[in-house]
This record gives sequence, structure tokens and C-alpha cells, in this order.
Amino acid sequence: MGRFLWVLPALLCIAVQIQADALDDVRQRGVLRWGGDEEGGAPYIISSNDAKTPAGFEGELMQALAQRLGVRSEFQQCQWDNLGDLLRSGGVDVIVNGIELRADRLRSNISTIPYYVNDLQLLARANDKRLTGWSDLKQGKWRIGVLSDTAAEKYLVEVYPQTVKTESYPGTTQAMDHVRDQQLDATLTDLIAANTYRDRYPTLHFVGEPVGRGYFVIYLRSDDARLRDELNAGIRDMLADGRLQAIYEKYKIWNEAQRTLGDPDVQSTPERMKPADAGSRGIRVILRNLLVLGESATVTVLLSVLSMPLAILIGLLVALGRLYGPAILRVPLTIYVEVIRGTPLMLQLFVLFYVIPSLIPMPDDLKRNFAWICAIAGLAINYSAYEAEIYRAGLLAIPVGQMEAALALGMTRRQTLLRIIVPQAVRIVIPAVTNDFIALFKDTSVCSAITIIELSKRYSIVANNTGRPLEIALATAILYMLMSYPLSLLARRLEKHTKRVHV
Amino acid sequence: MISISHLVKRHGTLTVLNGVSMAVRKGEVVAIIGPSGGGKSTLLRCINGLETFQDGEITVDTLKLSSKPDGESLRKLRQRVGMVFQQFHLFPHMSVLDNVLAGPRYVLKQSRAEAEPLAIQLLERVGLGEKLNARPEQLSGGQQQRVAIARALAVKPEAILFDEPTSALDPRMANEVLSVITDLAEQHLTMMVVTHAMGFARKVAHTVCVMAEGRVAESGPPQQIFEAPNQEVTKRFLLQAATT
Repeated sequence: MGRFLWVLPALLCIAVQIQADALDDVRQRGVLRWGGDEEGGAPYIISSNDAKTPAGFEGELMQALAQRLGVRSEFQQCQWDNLGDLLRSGGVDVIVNGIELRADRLRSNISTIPYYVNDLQLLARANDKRLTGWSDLKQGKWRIGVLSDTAAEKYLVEVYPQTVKTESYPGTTQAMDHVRDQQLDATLTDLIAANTYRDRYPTLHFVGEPVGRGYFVIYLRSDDARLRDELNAGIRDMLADGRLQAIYEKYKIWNEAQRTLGDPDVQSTPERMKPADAGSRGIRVILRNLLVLGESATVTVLLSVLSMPLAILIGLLVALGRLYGPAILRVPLTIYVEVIRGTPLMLQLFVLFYVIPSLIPMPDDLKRNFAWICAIAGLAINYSAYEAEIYRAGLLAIPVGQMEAALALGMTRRQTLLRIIVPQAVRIVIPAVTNDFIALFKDTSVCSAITIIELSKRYSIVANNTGRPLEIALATAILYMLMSYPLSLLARRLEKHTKRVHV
Repeated sequence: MISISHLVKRHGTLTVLNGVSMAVRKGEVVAIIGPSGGGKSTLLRCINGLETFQDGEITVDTLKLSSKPDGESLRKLRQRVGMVFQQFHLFPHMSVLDNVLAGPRYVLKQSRAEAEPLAIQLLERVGLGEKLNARPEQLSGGQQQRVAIARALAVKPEAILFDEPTSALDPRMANEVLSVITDLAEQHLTMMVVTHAMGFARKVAHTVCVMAEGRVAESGPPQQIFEAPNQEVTKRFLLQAATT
């Protein structure tokens, strides 16, 4: 083993070399790799027949920029939240996907000049008379959907800190769905997206003027200034010869604001925005963000401890129903277990959170807590199927003689199950159930798909904002361990205990 | 008190009981002996309603057990007729005392305080007054079987069915259990005992009943069965039992 340890530093050197000069590397390889998230949808990136060269205005922009470098462009799909991580990891040369120019992102990255001028548009239901202009947001309580960690979220938090509560959605259209279904009062989204999806949401309308002018830029790793300069030259060329305007007109996103892209003032924004200090790092960046991470850890714990008991209860009832219930219950319960086990948790959460509101109206109180209700119900239902199988095995492990002895005493079936069979089965399944609890604990991270910001989601946000993913990942992992390790210990102790008693 | 007539029990194509008739008087001790697979245990399990049967009739006192009994009448029957199993089947998650209290509390709906004096008294009677708080797995087989007997007695049944109560025990422990059963016989408890302990059957039973191939081959007082058996199958069985 030790003989091969020299491989590690060697590999590191190679890695550093690869990162040191992306421009030469791109040319050598003949490919410019760029990361984005197709899920964001039209008109940014639109899937085409060739997964590596999607359409959309960003897809076409990247093709044109790559062409100028004399290489092909190659698209790499990645969750929007994690594009920063993908770039740092070296998996792509650049990331491009409606990512705004932001000072904190420039701490660990560099960016090209803006390629698009982006405004934000407020969308609400046309028949909602309470919300007809920006001034209405100054009073009352509003719930407004945004993409998490975007300029839209920051704008609302800064301008309406008291009256607006933002909800973080994984996608633009999901927030629009929830405005349509009256789960949200409004959504603040890129003007581009608002325009593109106008026809799909006829019940929504534009409220007030666009706000929060920002710029879309291409981000690169800080070492890749030469590649950045080439890309800048490419964008300038396309601005000058009208190719950029042609692409934007094709996707119906050209507007007067785009004429400012040629202004030296606009083009120098990244230079001016670059923060003077490198930002804190090491233990300081951890300490500075510990409180906000800890807060999200509480969310993770709450989700787990609220959903697991429900899962256990439902699971036990399902198992009892399948083994001892009336015959007509058995088939439906078996189908329940198989369907729930056979479909991903993410999909189940989506169905609960995005499909149900479009089918049934619900009172305001419920709407406010709907994400939490869906998260807890979704986790409980998902895990109940696994608990049901565990309990089934546990119940089957109890000797038939136990049931007979209790019945022979004159006990009813119900008494026998409740007093004799279930207590013994519970002892048998405790270690397995505790293990599942640890698994559920980590699965809570899926709930970020339905606007709940728990520890994993918080990691993405804080890592992006600080540009220090290493420290933040370490802190997050430690928090997870602090919470799950006691559970592991408990599981192990219980396992020993049950073995000793050998019930 | 217990009367069985023309009882037929089939498992698929296999006929386990083929027209068994038998009557047990109040206070009578009936030992059921015979070769393995003769239907002895199945007969007891039918009387307690743990097995259904296809034809015939079982009556306990005034309670008639049909071939498709409902839960309510089964429970009434089982309160009157207790059962003790070969493998004891104590509840492992309860203390010895709680095992004995299970019947009074859950079946007779007594409070713990109401039921405890009798339970303790019964455990003392079977010689386990010192083990009230022990767990079943801490007891020897013989002790466990004696707890099982106390558990069955705790609901004050009129009769108890013993299904090979000593077959899982070594001889010394078997004797502990048999002496408890003998003691019960002296108190005039009605009992049906499936057993391979011939000495016990001879000494304690009022009637010995030989079962083979799903029928009652013959029955009579122990002296007659053991000394002057009428049936060939009885002679063969007794000879075999004596040599093993």
C-alpha cells in the first residue's frame, strides 16, 4: 500500500496542471465543456437531439463562442444549485445558465463581461385584486416564490424585509404553478422566463415594472484569465456583428436594455464588483456561518423526528393488515407497499407538493405550512413501506405457539396481537428500524425540492455565497455526524440488547 | 362434562381424526396414549378450537362447538377449557408473574391488584413462589412448564388439556411437572392428558384411552388397559413403550 503513496502527490500535480491552463487544454482537447441545468428550461437551454449541444439562447451562444476558439462545445448537465461545485471540481471549463453577476461569486471565480441584461418581473394572479403594484408589497404579509439563492431572492429580502416571505423553489415553473394554484401570492422571476411562459399561465399577469437589473455572465475558475479574455473577445465580436442580437431575437428575448451591453461601463462591471478582500476562510468562515448552518440542522432534525414515528405507526398497521387483516385489505396493502417502495421519494414529494394543490383548494393556514406537511407526510409514507416490510418479517418471526397460547387462554385476536405478538415483534425490529431512522435522517435532504431549506440545501447556498465549499462541506458533514452518530450508537446498543434477550 | 361424538378432521386428503367419540365426566382424569400420528394432539387442539374439524360434534357443558365457530363462543369455551403445550409457550417479554396474570387481566378483565393474590398463590402451589419476577428464559424447562400450568389455572377453567406436557423435558424435570398434575388430579380438576409417561397414566388417570390411526382403539380403567388389553394395537404399543 505505502509503496503507491507517491501516486497521490503526482495526481495532485496533474490536477493542478489541468486547472492551471484551461485555454490550452480546451484547444488541445478540441472541446469547450460548459455546465448548465436543462431543468431551468426554455429559453435558456433547450434539449435537442444531441445531448451535448442543446439549443436555447445559451446553447447557441456557447456554440458560437466555441467555434471562434476553433473547438466544439459540449454541454454538461448539473443541478443549478451545484454549478459552482461542478466548476471548482474541474468537471467543466465554464458554467453558463442565467447566473447573475454577483460580488460574492467573484471571490473564488472570475467572470466574462455580461452577455445579457436581466430584469426581474413580478407575476401574480390576474384576478388577485390585493396585488396590483409594487407599493402593495409594503404592507401586509406576502409569500413570494423565487429560485433559491438568486438575485430575485436577495432583492425581496433587501427591499421588503418585513412584509415578504420568500419561498425557495427548485424551478421557475414550479413557483408559477404554485401562484396559479393559490399556494403563493406571487413569484419574482427573470423577465425572460416570465415572457416565455406567458402563454402557459394565462391566469397570471405582470405586476409593476421590471426591477433589480442584473447581468448574466459566464463564470470560470480564477486561474483561467486567458480563456476568459478569449470568451470576452468572442462576446464583443458577436455584439459588434449583430450575431448576439440575432440569437436573442430568435428566442424573443431581445429588448432595448440589451443595447447597453456594449457600454464600457457595463462591460467593466465585473472588474468593479470584484471584492477587495478574499473573504474569510478556514475556521473563521465556518464560525461565521455556523449559526445559519445550525438553524438548518434543526430543520433536518425536526423533519426526521416528526416523520419517523408516523412511518413506524403506518408501517406497523400495514404489516398487521397484511398478515392478520381481512382478506380484502391484503391486496390493496401489498400494492401500497410495492408502489411506495418502487417509486423515488423525490417523485412522491413532487406529487404531494405540486400536483395536489392543482386538484384541490385548501385553506390559508394549510397553505402556509403546506411544504412542511408535504415533507413530513412524504417521508412518513415513503418510509412506512419499508417499516411495513421490517415489521412483517418481525411478526412472522414470532412462533405460532405464542398466538396459540394466548388464544387458548381466551384472549381475543386483537388482544393477542396487541399484548403478545406486537411487543415481541417490536423488540426484534428495533435495530432495523433505528438503522432506517438514520437513513431517513439523511433523506430529509430531498425536501429541498419542495422549498424546505434543510442542512444540505443550506450547504449549497453558503458554499456558493462564501466561495469556500471545502470548509463549509466539512462543517456540514460534522453537523450531520454529530446528529447521526448518537443514533448509530443507540442502534448498536439496542441490537446487542435484543440479542441478549433473544426473544 | 366434555363429550365428543363422531369427530372427523381432515388435512387435505389425509384423515387425521376418523370418527372419534369420547366422554369425560366432571373431575375425571383421562390419559390419552397411543403411537405417534394417531391423532392424540389433534383431538385436544380440536376441543380447544385451535383446529377446525369437518364433521361431528364437541360439547363442553352446555356449549356446543360447531365446525365453524365464531370468536365469541370460542373465547367462552377456552375460558372453561385451558390448555398446556409441549413447548410451554410462555410469553418471553413478560415476567413469570405477568404470564400468570395475562389471563385474569385480559380475559377476565380484572385489575392487577385484584388478580395478583390468586396468581401468586398458584405460583406458590407449583413451587415457584420465589420466581415471581424472573423472566421465562431464566427458568429451566420444568419450571417453565409449571408456570404454564399456573397460567392456565389462573382463569379458573373447569378442565385443562395437557398436550404432551413432559415430552420436551428430561426425566427429573418431567417428574416435577407430573407431580403438579397429580396434585391437580387430587383436587378433582377435570383433565385430558396426552402423554407418553405410562407410569403416570397408570397411577393418576381414571380412564386410559388408546388412540391409533385417528380412532379410539379402546378405553377403560388403567388396570384393564395395561394388564388386559383387548386390542392388538394396544398390545403392540404397550410392548413397544416398555422396550424403549
